[in-house]
Amino acid sequence: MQDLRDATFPKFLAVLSNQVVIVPRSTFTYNSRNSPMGVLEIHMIDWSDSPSLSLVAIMELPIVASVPIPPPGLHGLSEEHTAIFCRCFPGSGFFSSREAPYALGSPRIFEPSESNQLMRMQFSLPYLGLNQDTRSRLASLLYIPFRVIYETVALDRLQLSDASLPRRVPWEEWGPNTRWIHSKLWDNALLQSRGSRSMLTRHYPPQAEAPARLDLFVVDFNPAFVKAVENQQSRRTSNKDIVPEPGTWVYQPPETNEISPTASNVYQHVWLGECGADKAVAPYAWLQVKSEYVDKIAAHIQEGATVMMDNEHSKFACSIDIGIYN
Amino acid sequence: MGKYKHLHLHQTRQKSHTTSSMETFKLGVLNGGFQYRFHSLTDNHAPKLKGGTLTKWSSINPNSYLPLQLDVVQLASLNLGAESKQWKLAYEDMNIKDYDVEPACDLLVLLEYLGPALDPFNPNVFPPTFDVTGLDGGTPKAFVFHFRTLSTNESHPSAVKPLLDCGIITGNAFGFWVTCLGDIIVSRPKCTPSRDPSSDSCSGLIMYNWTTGALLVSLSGWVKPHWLELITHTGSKRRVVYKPSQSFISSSTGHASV
Repeated sequence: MQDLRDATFPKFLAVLSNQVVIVPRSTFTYNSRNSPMGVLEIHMIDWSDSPSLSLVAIMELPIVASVPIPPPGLHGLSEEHTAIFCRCFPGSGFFSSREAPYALGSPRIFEPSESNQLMRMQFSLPYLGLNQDTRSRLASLLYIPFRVIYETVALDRLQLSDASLPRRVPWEEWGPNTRWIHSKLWDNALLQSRGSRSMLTRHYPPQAEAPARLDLFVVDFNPAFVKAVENQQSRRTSNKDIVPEPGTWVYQPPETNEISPTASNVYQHVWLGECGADKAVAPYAWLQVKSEYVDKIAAHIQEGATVMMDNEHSKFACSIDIGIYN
Repeated sequence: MGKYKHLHLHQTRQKSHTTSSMETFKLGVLNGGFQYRFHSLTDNHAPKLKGGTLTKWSSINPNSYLPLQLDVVQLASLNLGAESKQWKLAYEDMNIKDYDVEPACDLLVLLEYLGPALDPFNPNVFPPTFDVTGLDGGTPKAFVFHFRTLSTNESHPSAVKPLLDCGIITGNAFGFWVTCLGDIIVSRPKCTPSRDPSSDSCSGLIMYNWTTGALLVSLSGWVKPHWLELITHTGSKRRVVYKPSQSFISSSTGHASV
């Protein structure tokens, strides 16, 4: 049982359920060498007589050799300051309304499984620009299905009285079951999905030679669905060079691709390319959404489109209009 | 249509991800409301989508943040076997700073600041000023949580009590996050912004079961002005005691104990 007197919590933690809290710790500083870029603390919530948190596991993120410190005097940074920020996106928790006595209204017919829910993390280096004059953020996203956490720390068999807790888990043990996507594509940070899906959007402003375009991709990490797409694709064609049509689900095998941190179009940083982030290659299925509505609004978007999802609906919000389709 | 057919149609739609219907709703400023600057509830953010429900706040009057109104849309749903419907909830005197919903529980949770709604931006001086506390030199008041029904704005029948007062007083009037997850709410009272440009800002942590009254709190790690104080609070089942520090320090001695 954790003594909360000296506990501090980062702003961007994730509450997966009324029993599990994930606390990311940004532990990598500018003078760190060959250390995990951060850790995920897995806490169990005890709602009995004295509500409390128990730290049961520490899941390590990839080991990074070093992150170069920005020029002296920039923002007043020193070697003791945090170099890599590790944050969990909020809003991905799960509860079962069918089992809840406090759920009201009409009963839900279908409900996604808890194990397939997605938790997303973001890693950023806020002060390392592409060159001395730019201070652009370089953010990467890590998709972690709940089941990876639950199975890694064996939550269903955990005994809080176990004196060996918290257990420390190296990246190599759980990382390959996740998927790392480097954000050349936008990913809506306001995603409220409670399923195994996420959306990636990419907006192209109008150019002289081409109209504006909004590419919308859905990625799904449900293992049963991914397997079905894999089987269907292998029956359809064995030629991997065929470009899939929009509106067709495509199987992504457990290997890197053009949106992985090691892709050739990603600015190469030592901390990304050699840290083992490329080991996070869980397979997934993806689909490019085709919609007349999306094509129509693409030309009018001033900034990017915000896309939200729940189990049945997708919602676009952009600077000119709000629409819903499912 | 039977449940099996609903489920089958849902699965078909999930696989195809094609548009089966499209609706456009007018919410907030498009539905007779007003946007008020520097108040995140009513500024130009996208409506929240959660559990098949859209919600969007706006001000009722053009020249003041308060009173507020909430547009609610329940989207057409196979899961509920329901068509879409829209309604509006009005809040005459509540200075609401954040909120969340749990449509499956018909729950609406409101974070209210018990002080006045002041405009932190003063354009009448040169250069224009922005009051980072939102207090205009006044004494900060407490934040409280309300548990209402999303459908009718009444006190929620499953809530142990309609209002939770943890005695939370921060260094400003802007509020902090609150989120719902089934029978619990999670809230992140912010500490005073740190001057360390590379630190990941820390927050307090409040987790409260609104159906049983169980409360878990950690307010350590706050950087608090010496003149702030935390009020002891007695919940319906647990007594949570805080021992605030007496000066500006980087970590406090606040703790929760029975």
